[in-house]
Amino acid sequence: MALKHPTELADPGKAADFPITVDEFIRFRDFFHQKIGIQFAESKRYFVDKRIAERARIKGCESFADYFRMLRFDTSGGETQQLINLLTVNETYFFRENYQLEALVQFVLPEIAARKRPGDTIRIWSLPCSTGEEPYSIAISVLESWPESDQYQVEILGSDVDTRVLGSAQAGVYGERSLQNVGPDLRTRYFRKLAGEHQIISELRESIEFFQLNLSSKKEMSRYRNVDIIFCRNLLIYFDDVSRREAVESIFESLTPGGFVFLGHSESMSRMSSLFSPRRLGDCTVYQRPLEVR
Amino acid sequence: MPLIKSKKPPAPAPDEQAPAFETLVVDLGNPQTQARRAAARWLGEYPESAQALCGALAMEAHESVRVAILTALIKIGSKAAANGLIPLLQSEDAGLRNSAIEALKTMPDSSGECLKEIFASSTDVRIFGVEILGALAHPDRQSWLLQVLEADREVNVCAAAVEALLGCGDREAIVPLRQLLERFPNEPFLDFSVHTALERIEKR
Repeated sequence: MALKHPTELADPGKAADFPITVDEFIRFRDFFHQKIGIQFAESKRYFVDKRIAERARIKGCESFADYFRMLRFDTSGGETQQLINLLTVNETYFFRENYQLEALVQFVLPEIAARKRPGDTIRIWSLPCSTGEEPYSIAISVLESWPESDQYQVEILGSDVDTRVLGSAQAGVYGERSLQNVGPDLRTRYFRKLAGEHQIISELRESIEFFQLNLSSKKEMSRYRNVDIIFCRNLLIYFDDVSRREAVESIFESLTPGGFVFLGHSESMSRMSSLFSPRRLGDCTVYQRPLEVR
Repeated sequence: MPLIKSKKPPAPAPDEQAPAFETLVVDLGNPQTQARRAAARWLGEYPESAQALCGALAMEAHESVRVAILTALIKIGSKAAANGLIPLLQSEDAGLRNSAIEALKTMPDSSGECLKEIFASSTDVRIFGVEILGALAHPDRQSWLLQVLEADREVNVCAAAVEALLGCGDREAIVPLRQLLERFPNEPFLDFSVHTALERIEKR
């Protein structure tokens, strides 16, 4: 993400009801980057300004300076979390990039299982899980399309930095748009109608652990080890180079040797790090932590 | 249903600190790869660790630890970090050498401050220096490359600078490029490179 000198940035904040100057935007951008590793480009200025103004008004702040002061001294982290929730993008749907889920059940899970004994745990992590469509899609794919699933204990984790989406993921209630790729059979087996929407059946909801986690925090990431498969799709593209390198190293540490990472279709691990080996499995490239650490 | 719910590990305590600096430096020499990698990752939080990290990088054979050390050095990004990487440009280990080049490319200010050291070295190192300069996101990049054209005594170093200018040069480079041909009048490959660069730059 290219950074420009402050003087090169446009200043849409001047025209808004809640003015935010270029310098203030830069200060906020650096603060947010330090917090969660995401750095906003100039093109996101309007998006960011609008959401800062929204929170500042709710908190009764009269200027950006007031609000920013409050954020910097936010010892509970509550307001910072509210802003993170507003500034992170969460749009997704069931079976998005389904060819990756097909590769998961046809190639990746059998390979992982071959290194384990029946009854062992296979751990899959959706990072970030957003409102839950991805971990539930993984769960349904495992149950529907991996014949050996009954022989192993499959554990699915879903984490996100945004606490608001975690609530939605746990509730598991979705509109028609999220279910655009879900056929009638799957709808019958894994969803129930709820006030014009669709709720994931309780058995499935209760089998997935959702929790808040900041991928940029080495301390938080160090709590999660021995993961066999990580889905980290369309997140690292928002990170600057150093934060991306650090995040990739945290993912490497969390995986078991021989574990796999799925990235978004436009992302390439080879451009980020030499830690993983690319594998062409089915219609997609998956990245593997080497069995032996080189 | 074969799905089981995971047991969530406890959240980190808010006051939990990174391990002590001295312990981490010692751990850079730990026989366990994982311990060395962990030490390198935490040392990225300590700017004063640049020298120790560079020393460890020179000795390190495992790719995963090298990657962690390089990330820490890039994060620190200080002149000490850049300075510590420069000797690695002379390494016989191509992987290590290339890693140092890639890391220096990401430190525009600090690499810029170390140009004297780089361009006082061997021909090979000066060629790597030109490669770094060509990729450096720094407003003085072109003027540094032009200084190479004007002053370096080795035709291969100058040719590398011509190639870098092919990608990033503007009209300010035209006169120095022509003057370079006067300094090396009997080098057909240089003549070809300079004319290619001039054509490209004049079209910009």
